[in-house]
Amino acid sequence: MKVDYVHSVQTAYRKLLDCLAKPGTMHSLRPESAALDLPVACYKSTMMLMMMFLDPEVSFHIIGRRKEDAERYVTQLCGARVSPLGEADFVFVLKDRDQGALIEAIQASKLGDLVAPHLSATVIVEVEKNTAHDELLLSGPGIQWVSPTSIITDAEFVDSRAAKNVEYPLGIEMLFVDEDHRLFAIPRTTTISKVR
Amino acid sequence: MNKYNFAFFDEQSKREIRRALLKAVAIPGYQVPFASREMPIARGWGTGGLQVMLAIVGKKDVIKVIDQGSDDSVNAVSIRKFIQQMTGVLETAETSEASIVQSRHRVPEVPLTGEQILILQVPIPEPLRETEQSELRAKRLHAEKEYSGVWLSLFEQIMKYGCTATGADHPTMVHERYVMSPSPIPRYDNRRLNDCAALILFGAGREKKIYALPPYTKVESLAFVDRPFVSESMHGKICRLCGAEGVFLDESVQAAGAGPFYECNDTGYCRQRQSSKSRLDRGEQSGD
Repeated sequence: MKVDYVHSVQTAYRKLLDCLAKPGTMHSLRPESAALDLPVACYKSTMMLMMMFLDPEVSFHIIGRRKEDAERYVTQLCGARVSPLGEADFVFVLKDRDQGALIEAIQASKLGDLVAPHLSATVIVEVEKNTAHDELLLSGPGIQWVSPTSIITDAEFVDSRAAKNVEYPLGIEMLFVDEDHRLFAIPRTTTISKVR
Repeated sequence: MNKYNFAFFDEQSKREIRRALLKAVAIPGYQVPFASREMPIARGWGTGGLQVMLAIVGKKDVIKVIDQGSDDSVNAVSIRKFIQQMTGVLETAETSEASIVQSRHRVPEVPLTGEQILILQVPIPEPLRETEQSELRAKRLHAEKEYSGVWLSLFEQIMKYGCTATGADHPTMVHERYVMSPSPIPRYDNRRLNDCAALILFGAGREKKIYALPPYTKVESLAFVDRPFVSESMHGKICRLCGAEGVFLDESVQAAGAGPFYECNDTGYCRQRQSSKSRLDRGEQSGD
């Protein structure tokens, strides 16, 4: 692996922190992830996020057609535990998923409870494309006015996410990565409305 | 420096703090527990802020560390030197040049931008601690948004003193959900947390808690309709060094008979104003 692990993960993390603190902000993880050369059937930026998040203290779940291979490799690399979908701290929904798998992941991922709402899942989704078109409008903390965006993925995710996050502070965080390494994050506090 | 990993911590420690920070940003004002490592300074001396700093700092960052507004106090200097030795990053006293500002008990006077991160050191992160000693019960009260104890405590202060008597650390309501300790910043700084353009991270090392305010988050200081929140009055007071008005000033007492004098609490801001003023003065002289 031709990657300076310490500094690549640090710069990638700061980009993620910025995306999450300012929903609607998009960053490219290309400088950090392009050099990754690992035999896992996922985007390189997804792999970077796995390396950023996973260790023996947390659990994860992968959704995709070749999930067994990916889970085995990621467990060996990071030491994290594979868990059922409803118990995983991090859920990775890969590009080669079956239709409807993203909605199922949103519905089934863990939510924490009101005493410990931070124990909810973070769902990482591989999408076709993250762009700055104005199909969706974001509002909430981190956004000064409203932020236009467009995430090309399963159209129903907006409604499923809204249903999942209906009882704030309970909710899940969603991170979106595309093939061109673009990263986009939506915390539970963000309200998404569709532009008609 | 070579004996240590970049930024002192091993990567697993950074990863744990980074995960806690992400959830803290996602739930503004909510205290996320974290492991809080042993640091080479004592707990209660800024270890929470320091751990947050070391988990996020990178080679290209420029850091500023202040303690009660001062760049030169022992706490600020030792923390800044430690970070610098462990990372090799550049340091500055100018707020506008810093990408990360770590502060004990002040928000810098120069308005922060969306590209900056402010880290505040927190001694007691639990705003309910005065009225609820049990950690578990306090967590349940937060879960139920049951904040009668805090309101009653403010009410008692008004009954006793005629006004709220929180000199610093006046509790705030964040995003209309969590009552949050803003750390012991003066009430003057409370308003500056509201809708702040910068990301603000709070680290409490001894209490093992991390919490955060994303940019443009609603932060209201708790107050009653008929007793609005009032910050310290700086009306009519001027810094004797730079002439600044309307900023947070320290009051010092002179020899018997003379009145008190005032100086900017934020020393970096004050020095910046003084050097601008002397440049202007020199320019005027050469123009003559």
